[in-house]
Amino acid sequence: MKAERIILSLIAIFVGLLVAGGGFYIYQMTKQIPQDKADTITIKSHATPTPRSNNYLVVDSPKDEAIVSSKTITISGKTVPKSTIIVSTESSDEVVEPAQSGSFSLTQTINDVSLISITAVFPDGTEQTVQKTVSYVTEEF
Amino acid sequence: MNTLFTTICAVSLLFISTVHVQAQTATPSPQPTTQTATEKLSDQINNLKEKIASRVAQLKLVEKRGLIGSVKEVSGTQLTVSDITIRNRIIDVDEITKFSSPSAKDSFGISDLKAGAKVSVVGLYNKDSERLLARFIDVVSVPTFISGTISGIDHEAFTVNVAMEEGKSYLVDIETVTRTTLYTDTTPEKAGFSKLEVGNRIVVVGYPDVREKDRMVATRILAFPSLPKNPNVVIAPSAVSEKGVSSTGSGKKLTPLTKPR
Repeated sequence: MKAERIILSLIAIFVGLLVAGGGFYIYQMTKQIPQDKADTITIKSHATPTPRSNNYLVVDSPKDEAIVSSKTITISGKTVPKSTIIVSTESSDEVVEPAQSGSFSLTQTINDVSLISITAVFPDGTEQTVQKTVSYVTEEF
Repeated sequence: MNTLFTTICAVSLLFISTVHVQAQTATPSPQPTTQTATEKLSDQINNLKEKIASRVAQLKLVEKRGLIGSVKEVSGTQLTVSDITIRNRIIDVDEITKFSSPSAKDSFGISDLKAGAKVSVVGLYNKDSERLLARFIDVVSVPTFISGTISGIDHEAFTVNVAMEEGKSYLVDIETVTRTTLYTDTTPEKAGFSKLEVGNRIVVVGYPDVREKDRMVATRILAFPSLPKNPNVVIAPSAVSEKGVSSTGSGKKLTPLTKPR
């Protein structure tokens, strides 16, 4: 008889919780917030992007301030197709046109410490220059 | 009573579900080991792990680099150098740093470096502190590269005015050592001073005149008459000038930079 009472009490609590939960859910669904008390939250998915120019010059190799163990280095990168690439070092110059994809690659001989200037003249006449420092070192340190 | 029991069972079955979780691998049964020996081995492994981790971190943190710049300040065992991007770089010097200068007759050291000197620094760059521990510091002479449009030619003084982007301009001295190359496409064609024309797009490689700002002595000139004009280079009509007669193309005799102007 005692066990029966406990079980019945538990069932009553459970049923009570269900009814209260249902009531609260119905209340929330039907509740209307006045327009003047409602706050608007705006979430920006992305920051406003900075407009990018269509002209670009990216030099992948050599890396700036690189240490190399060979005096012959490869200069490669990507730019706008139909541009003209002018590569100058202290001792020599090279003028090339990129492939249709815009990628370019050439070799240059450098001195012990070289400043390499890579200029792309784009089809619209504008230009962009990238300078890289490359050091030829054979000693271990 | 039976009805009540059945109801309770039905409600319990509704809300109770049993999930059986089994281990992927069997739990290893403990093996008899000597406590002290295991602890010692564990300590050794941990020490080794720490050493390896420390060394790996050190190797990742430090890399070999070389830069070129102008000395801004020398103090004790530290140099401040302005690199090619006009960024100040801190260079640390220690007892094994080697110094050299082509003009030095005797030993050359940090105290001989003066502000404004162009140096190349090779050493170990610490990515965390962004400082370079120098191993080699050499006084060097690096060329200046400029790209622009010829806005004026003086056939008597053998100079060329070069207008650049952002309103900058350079006065370029043409010497007998100056090599001029004409590019109608990507093929180089040897040319002389007389082939240069106002409006030509050029690249000049040379060395700045120490006495006059925005003036340089050209060692090489690359002219591109067929390339489109740069819309960002604005040449004022008053700036366009062409003086004197055309030269034979051989350039003038080498003159010192100290000549009266």
